[in-house]
Amino acid sequence: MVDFITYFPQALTPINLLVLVLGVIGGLFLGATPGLSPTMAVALLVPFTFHMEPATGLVLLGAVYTATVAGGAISAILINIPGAPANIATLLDGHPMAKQGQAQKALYYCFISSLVGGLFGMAMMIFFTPPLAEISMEFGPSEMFWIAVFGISVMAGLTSGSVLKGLIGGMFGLLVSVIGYSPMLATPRFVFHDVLTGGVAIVPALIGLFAIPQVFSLMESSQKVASDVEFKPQKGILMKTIKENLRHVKALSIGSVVGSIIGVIPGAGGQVAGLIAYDQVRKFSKNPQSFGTGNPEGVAVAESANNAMVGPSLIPLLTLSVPGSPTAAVLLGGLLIHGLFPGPDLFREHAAVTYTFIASLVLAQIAMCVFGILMSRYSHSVMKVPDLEMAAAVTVLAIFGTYSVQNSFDDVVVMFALGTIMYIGRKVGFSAAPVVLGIILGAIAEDNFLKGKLIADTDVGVMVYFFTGSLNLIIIALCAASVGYSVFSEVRQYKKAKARARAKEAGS
Amino acid sequence: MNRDAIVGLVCLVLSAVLYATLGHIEEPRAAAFPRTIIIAMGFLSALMLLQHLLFPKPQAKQAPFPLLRVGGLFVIIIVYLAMLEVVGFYLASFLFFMAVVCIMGFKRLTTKQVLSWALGAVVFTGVLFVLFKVLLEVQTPRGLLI
Repeated sequence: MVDFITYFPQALTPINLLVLVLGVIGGLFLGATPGLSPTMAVALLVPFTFHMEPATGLVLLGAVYTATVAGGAISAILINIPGAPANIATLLDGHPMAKQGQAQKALYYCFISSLVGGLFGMAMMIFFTPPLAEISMEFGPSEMFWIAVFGISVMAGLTSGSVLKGLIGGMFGLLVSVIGYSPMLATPRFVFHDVLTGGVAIVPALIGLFAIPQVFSLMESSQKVASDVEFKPQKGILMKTIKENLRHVKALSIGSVVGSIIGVIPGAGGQVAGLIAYDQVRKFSKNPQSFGTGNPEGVAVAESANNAMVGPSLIPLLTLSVPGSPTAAVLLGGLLIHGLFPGPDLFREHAAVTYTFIASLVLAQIAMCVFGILMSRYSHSVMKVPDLEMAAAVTVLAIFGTYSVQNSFDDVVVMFALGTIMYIGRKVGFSAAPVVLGIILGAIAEDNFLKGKLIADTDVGVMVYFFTGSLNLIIIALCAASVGYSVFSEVRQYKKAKARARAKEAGS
Repeated sequence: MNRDAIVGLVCLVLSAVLYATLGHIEEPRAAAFPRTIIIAMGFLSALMLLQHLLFPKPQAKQAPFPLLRVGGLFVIIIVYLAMLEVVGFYLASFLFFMAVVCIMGFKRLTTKQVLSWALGAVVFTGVLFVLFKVLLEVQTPRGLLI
């Protein structure tokens, strides 16, 4: 903490501040482009840091990382296409809010909640780095497997209609995740065509599942303006929204805590933090039916969670040289090209650079909120794009974003095929969110189960390995509570609906 | 049979077909995870089928499907994908943009409107080119042109 305060002014030098502001503005734009995930955005900018001072280069990368995570919410809210996997939970309520003419409020909610979550995550990073680093190392294959199962238990709650459709969609996503070669055994599975040899990558799947159905939907209507979203700039709404947003203490707290915990776990992926936190807040809400229909609390929890994971996700990297996420791996490259080797020495021998980087992440959270809110005032221009131009532009961006992930045309074909299937699925009541969650979690679940089984077979056996240990038992209990509460709430809603129907019958 | 029952039946058949393909996986351990998921999916699909057969819910009548508009866009996208690696991303994207607005918006075709669309397409692909190709050096499908 003392070092942090000592080196904080170094983040405020004119050049660092300029780079920070440019990084945040650029990050917001890149984040809002479907397909350009935080990992991709940071990777694109690493070469620009070659000729910069190490601290300045890291300020740029940190600012871009922070802003792209929040920027992905802009396209999620306005055009129903998440800029990155971390923003899937945001669109569940953000887009319905925008459809109700509250786009400005939804965007303000997004950036204010991102700031709250982001600062919470940074505080966790500054004050609790040593214990959190220890916790992150407690997660072995069995714990990671149960974390994935916990994520899977959330699927049922991600469809506002039928629970069964949510679960079937999730299973479909899990099946998509196994396409290609088995990660541990190198055996081909469901490779019906050459384009499937490399499997289905998450970002192309995300773009296809959200963007392509949206493009076809734009063609269905004969309306002139792109979306049915109205953007109504209103005077004085900022202060009103800040006050209202900060009153959602439960959503912001759960989002920030869940985001920080998931963020620190290597490999869990920040993309599931928003969805898990969203599900918890929905379950404990007095009015769970309002989620998915434009409840601002949904935006608050999703955005606070996905930005809270930014700081903690860097803890394993900075302290133990373990890049816990793809973005952390790219940042590792950014550190190495400047001769900085992560680990305890980073905090001792390169304290000035390291703490300037951490301080800039705090400043980037504030800058992200300020520039995000300023951008929100002009985002309405997106809403004025006519339907045909919007459909064409979104298709071009979807293909560009998909191809640029790993320069593969096969990914583009897979993206379009999945999108077309999802369009048909949407027509019969399936949602994209559980499918994406399945694709994200399938690989984590299977990979860790097989790794755990290999370890268990040579040691204590599968049952003991997966069902003992305090962390395993805590996560198993959380899984059981999550599933149990979903069933309980479904039965309660069914009884309520039945009682209402009876009362209606009696009344008539 | 209502629509959701048919959806349940289709998912059940899909699960059965996928289960049958598991036999082609050479290493049994690699088939364990997909098998578990397929069984779960089949069980859930059967539940859905039964639920809608035993307790059918009245379903709202849907508007006629705009097959010509959606099918037309589908065909244009297929042609765009086929062109990508022949003429290159940026030129193909410009042509795709113009094809979508001119073909799907043929009722609004006037010289002024076409010029306005062309200007929009040039600005859009131009911004993409400058930002991603020139500044950030992002790879895109390359063809004969750019």
